Amino acid sequence: MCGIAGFVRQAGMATPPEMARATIKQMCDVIEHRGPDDEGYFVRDDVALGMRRLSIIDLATGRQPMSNEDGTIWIIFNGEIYNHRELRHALIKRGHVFSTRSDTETIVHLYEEEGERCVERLRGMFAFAIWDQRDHKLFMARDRVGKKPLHYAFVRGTLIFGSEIKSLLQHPAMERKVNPNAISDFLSFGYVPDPATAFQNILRLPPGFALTLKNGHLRVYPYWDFNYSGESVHNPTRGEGDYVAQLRELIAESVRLRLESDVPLGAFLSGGIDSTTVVATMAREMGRPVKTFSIGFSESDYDELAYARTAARHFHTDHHEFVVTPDVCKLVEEIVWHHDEPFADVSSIPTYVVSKMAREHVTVVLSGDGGDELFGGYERYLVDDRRRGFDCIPSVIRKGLLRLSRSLPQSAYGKNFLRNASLAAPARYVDSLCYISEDAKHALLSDETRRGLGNYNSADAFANLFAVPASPDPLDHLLYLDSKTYLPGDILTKVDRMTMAHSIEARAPLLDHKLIEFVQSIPAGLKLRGRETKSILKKAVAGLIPEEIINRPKQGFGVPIRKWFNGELRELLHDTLTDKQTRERGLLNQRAVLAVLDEHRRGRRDYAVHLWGLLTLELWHRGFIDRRPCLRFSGAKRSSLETLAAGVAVMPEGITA
Amino acid sequence: MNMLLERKVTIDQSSAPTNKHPRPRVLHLINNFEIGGTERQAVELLKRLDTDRYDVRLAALRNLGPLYGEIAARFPSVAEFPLTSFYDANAVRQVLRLRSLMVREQVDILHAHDFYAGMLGIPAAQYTRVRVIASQRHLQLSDRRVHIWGQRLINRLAHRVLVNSEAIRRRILTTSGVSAEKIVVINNGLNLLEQPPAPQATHDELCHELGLQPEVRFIGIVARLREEKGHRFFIDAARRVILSTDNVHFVVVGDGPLRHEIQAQANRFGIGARVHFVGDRMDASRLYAGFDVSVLASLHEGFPNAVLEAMTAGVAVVATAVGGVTELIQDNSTGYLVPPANAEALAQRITFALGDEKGRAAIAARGCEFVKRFSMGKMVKAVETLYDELYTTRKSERNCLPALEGPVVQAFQPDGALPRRAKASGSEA
Repeated sequence: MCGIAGFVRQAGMATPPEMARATIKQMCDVIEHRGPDDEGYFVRDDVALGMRRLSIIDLATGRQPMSNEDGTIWIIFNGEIYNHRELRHALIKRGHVFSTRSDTETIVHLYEEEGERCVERLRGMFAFAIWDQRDHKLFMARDRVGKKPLHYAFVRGTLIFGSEIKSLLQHPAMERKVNPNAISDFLSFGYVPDPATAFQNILRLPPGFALTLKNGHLRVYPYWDFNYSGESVHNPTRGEGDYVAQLRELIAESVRLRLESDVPLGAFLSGGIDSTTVVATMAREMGRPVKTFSIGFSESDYDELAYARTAARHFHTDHHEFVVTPDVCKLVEEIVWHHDEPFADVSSIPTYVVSKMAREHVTVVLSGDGGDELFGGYERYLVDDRRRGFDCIPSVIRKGLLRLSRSLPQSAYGKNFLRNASLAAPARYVDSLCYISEDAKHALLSDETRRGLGNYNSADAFANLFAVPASPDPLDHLLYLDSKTYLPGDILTKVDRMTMAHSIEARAPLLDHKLIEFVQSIPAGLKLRGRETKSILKKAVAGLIPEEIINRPKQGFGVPIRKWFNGELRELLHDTLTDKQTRERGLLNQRAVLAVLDEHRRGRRDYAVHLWGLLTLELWHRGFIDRRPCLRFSGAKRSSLETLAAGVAVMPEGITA
Repeated sequence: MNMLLERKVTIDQSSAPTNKHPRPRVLHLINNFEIGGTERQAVELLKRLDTDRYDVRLAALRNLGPLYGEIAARFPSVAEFPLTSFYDANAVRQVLRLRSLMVREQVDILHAHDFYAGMLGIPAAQYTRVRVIASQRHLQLSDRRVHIWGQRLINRLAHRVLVNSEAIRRRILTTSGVSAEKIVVINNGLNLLEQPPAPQATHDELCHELGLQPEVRFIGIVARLREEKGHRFFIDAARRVILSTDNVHFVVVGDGPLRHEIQAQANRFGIGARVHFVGDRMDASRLYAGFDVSVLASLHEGFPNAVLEAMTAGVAVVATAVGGVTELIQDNSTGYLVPPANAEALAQRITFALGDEKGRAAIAARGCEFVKRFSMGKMVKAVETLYDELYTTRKSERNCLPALEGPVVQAFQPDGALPRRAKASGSEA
């Protein structure tokens, strides 16, 4: 697991070779956190590839960039290929000579054998770039669900790419310019959806896509997509029991595949069904206590530690828990720096801290991420189910409702419900996804920003995706949407950046593509049954994990950000959102911001999520667009573990409830 | 006979004005004589002040630096007031020493050339008859509190504040309660008499010195290597320029605390061979003529000599739009302007200028024409006028003390009164 970066220049553009070498090194230095163990570069004529390595498999010989037998194909690779042994055997049979036992080399030979289609054979998480000297071609691909990031920019005939945007920004041909549409998207969704980024010119390769560059021609194409289109796979003769049995088996296989590692390995344990399922399977497969890591908050009503402790006792894990103290404010800047973009999901904070803690003990962790998108775990699916009844309201009345809701003041109770009810199905779902509603966003932006946006509407991109006939079933349709947007944009981005910030690799067994393809074939009615979410998963893990975890109420928002904003973070929030620098930027309508701050302070409304978004947006501007502070901010100013949290409790092995 | 006559004439000249009009005694106080814009202007002024009309004395916090050599013959002795800290007993001692010197020598006017001279001179002149001219030549010396509040204190207590650009005047007026009448704008003087060296010859000399082929093009920056001069942006811009332009080299003239850091930055970018650090140069003003483009990358500036000198030498300037720069350069007319702290914009403008041979020549010519208005003679004359004005108001005030009912009107003129009176008249008005 690593960080990669590189660039391919237009033939004939003469850059001094020492400058190319310096540039690629800088691009890699800035993501040293992704791979502190080693670095490697390949610079030839107009191509430069670089990587920072976090050694996990084949510690001794797995150095990158790696080439084929005659040095005509070079690869830099970030990720893990779980079926590499199987592929390797087949390739050796066909006469390929392996010089290492790493998964990286497997891709090289597979590419030699199958060309661009090699990507279809890979099972795991990956983002890689292959330079094919024979063809003068660059080939890049990103895994199916988007676990590993890959960004690129095509400027002045140079393709610049890298795991993180901060790498790209080191290249002298890059300019830092804000993409205003992305800011609008960010305020709506809390992240910038693929393929755009918060920077103009910089794009993200969407999950399941590949890219080639040959003779100055760039081609970006999909090689895989979620397939909920059902009829062929849904087999009416199969009963629920068959699905449950196979699901169990596949989960076990996914977990087992992800246990390969030459360095210590553990798991994040939140005490929810997903992570407990993963830990339970690990405990069964590993034959020694699993190292588990949990995080809680000193504000007790947000404390999830009790459930995690229950699970830890049940599976006799080597359990470590951690309590975030309000001193966490120091983290805000670090987190923004690691995200490269404005990012509003506050669960970045606990993920960041738990990664830091886990890194003291292990280098690889398994997590339960993706379970909610796969099995239908979010409350909003239920809400949508209920509100589907609104579809039969005549459009005239709907328009009236919309007008009524708009006429109410921003803080009026019921305003959001009225608006939501007045919308047609696609818009309604987008509305319920939004961090900040379209109306509230309109009020928050300054006139100038709004003018700059013109007719751009953040919901449009979603509406297009909504129109894809992914599945006739409404739930599957929503799951498809979430898997294409929220999952890679929010969840997986957060997990990758926050774990890699501390040089720790996260693996998500529930997002194995074989498992996904199977779950897609399960009828929607078995996932969401009445008021019960994730029904099929609950059946599959019954008996495997404790009853009280299966039946625990779904907890929403786990971070006491509201309390922090009224206490510890108050000054930072207030100063950052109202000082001269922010005002002069002119992005936001200062009066609206003050009103939001005021209402939150008086406790009239809980605007914590809005405010966190605005805070990270401003800090991002300062760190990445206003250059002066960014220069001083040459790397993550990592706070020591002691300053972030207190109460590391190591639970002795073998304690039972 | 001849000799006798000559001597007689000399004696006559020196004594005649003294009899008619006593010479105001002006004490100049300066931090040191290192190479820098402020020091350069002070030395040029000291060279040219009419000693027949003014009795000029010189004192420094430390008599260090090469520029003193240029005026050593004129000012063989320099009183020293070595200040090491604002907060120790030595500071008090130096203030008292300066005060007793000014009282003993009956100094009329104290001309403090920089912040540290002001911090020493202002307290020393309190409750004496010495009138103080303080100088502010930066928009802001630094973010340090002592610099911000110290400058405010100086500006408040000085009788006149000499600034070298409109931008600084505006800054003082908008950030403190100093009355507008106290602030005098005198632009830096340029030594226009000196013939600027021939561009091609200087270019070739520079090539020879650096061991380069004559077809290379030079982008130069002349500034102390300090944070506020923005060298890091210059270096970052350099690699961006190199990416799109062939045969371009960068010359960094000057020395300073950041030299190692900036050199390391150039090496880190892999452009060490393209960026030449030539250190402090006594012939800096000559070097401009060898550049194809001269750059000012400062984050803030008063009235930069580097820009003036480059324009005089007939070189196109790409400068950050800070402080007094905008009074010298109009974008695309007398030079090129870019926002500060923005390497991308700086690189774009340099690349553009390099590509547009014709436009660049026209701009350089217009710039050269424009700066002719800033002559050294003009600067000296303006300072002398300031001395005269301060001296006469001082005398009239001294005269009016016994008979207050007499020239009251004059004494209460807003520009002439003592600080306390000025304040009183200010509040009445």
